[in-house]
Amino acid sequence: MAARILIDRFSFRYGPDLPSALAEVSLDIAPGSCCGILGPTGAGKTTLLHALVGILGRHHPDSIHAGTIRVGERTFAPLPDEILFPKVGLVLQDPFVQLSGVRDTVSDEVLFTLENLGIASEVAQSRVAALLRELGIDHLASRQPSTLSGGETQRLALATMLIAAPEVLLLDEPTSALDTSAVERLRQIIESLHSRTTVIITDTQIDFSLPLADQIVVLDAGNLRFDGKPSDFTSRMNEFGDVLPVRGWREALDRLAESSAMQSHAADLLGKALGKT
Amino acid sequence: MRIEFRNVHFAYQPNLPVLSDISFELQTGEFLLILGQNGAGKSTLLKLLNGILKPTGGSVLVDGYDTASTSTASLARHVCVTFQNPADQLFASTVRRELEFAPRNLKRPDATRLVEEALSLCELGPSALQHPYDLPLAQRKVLTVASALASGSPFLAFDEPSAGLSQLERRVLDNLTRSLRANERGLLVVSHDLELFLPYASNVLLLRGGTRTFLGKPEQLLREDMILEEAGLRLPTLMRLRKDLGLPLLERAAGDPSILRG
Repeated sequence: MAARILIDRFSFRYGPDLPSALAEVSLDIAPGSCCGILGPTGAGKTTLLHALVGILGRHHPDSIHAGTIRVGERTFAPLPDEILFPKVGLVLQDPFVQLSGVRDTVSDEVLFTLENLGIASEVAQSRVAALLRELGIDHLASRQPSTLSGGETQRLALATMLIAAPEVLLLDEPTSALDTSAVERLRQIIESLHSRTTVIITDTQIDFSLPLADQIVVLDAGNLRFDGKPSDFTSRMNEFGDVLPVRGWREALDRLAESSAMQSHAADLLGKALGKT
Repeated sequence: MRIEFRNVHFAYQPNLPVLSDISFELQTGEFLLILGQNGAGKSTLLKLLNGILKPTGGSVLVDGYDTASTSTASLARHVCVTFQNPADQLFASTVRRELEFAPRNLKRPDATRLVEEALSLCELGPSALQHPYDLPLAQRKVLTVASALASGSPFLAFDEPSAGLSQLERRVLDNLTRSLRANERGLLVVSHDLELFLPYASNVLLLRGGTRTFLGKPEQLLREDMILEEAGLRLPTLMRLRKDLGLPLLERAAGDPSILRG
């Protein structure tokens, strides 16, 4: 069962002398939907994901916070003080930090997640093999994780979370090091999770989330600047030119709307953003 | 001044080639954009530039020096390479000290100017006294680029410099790339970020499984979709959409008259 996420006037400061990382942010993310949280560096995107998975309060004892966070049936005031894994899975922005560093092969690194959840190894082995295939990294199964390239490491980091099939999947800038075909694969994987898993993607770009998201959120310096449907976002996107790379998008989307008969993979991808679905 | 790769081969382990028969040339004032799938050998290629790795076949010549017989410390005078993961590179206790390291050790007479220039061009002035690890990841990445810039080396090589960067830092990289091209520095960039770098590239090198599948002008790459597809890559969503619609694909920032059309 996918979980609804309800964030009510949530504020967070890392320390008494520091500015607000998030200021009275309220969000309602429907169960099984995909939400793209967009914004520049320092917007508060990572802080929000860390709050949802439960690592924020624990690691910052001097922090100041207010509001409430609800994940599924559980309400936390103001935020979870326990790690909510495996209900909530977070793929970190820096994939090199995600890996355990104690496993010798890619396949064992992914297996490590399931071992920690107490899943029998026969079942686990075949699930790992299937997931590595899906992510296009099955040819790396016996490689040592530390010898992988940046993009390969990012896909391995994803695998260590996807394998746990969390109800809520949090992806912190998941495509930063991926090549374009790996981006397509990830897009398909996230599409396949739709309605089963609540997915939140943070990004500084709009390319990846726009075709996937049911809800787009724009954060800037801790403040909520936009929360709505992708089609509403695209009609107002020029307002966010100071914080998001919207240059070139508006013109293309307007032209696309005029030439509705056009056959194009890119046009198909953007159905949601154009309000066609 | 130029960099030459002559039939370069490289393998980390015997019988597992990572790069095979790679040849290209780059002069100062040129910008080579290196593309390829994850694991195609792009980062390995950069590490061959300054002798961190030595070719297992063929040769790499930097300004006439054969990297096989020249120390990395000496090559640093000619080419400065950044790593993809800032944690592999940053070690100083402040941003300013990080920037001072290369020009001081290379005994550049204009070290102070180089540091100030890097601080200002990369907009790191306000963070000069901060610890690099207190900066957000995106700014740490910009710092790795800034420290290469401060080295004063004629050739600079960046590994995925824009990965994880937001609009704010991408603008810095955009300005920086323009300024480096105007100042006749030689640039090699490994990146998936076609939107940012393709407009500035003088040439594109496309790798697939460690071999060169394309070396040519960006315009040609954009005209012939198959070239990218055969290397397992595709244009980013916005570029594909604009291409389908017959809109100009790439424009350099305002003030630069040249526009690339696909």
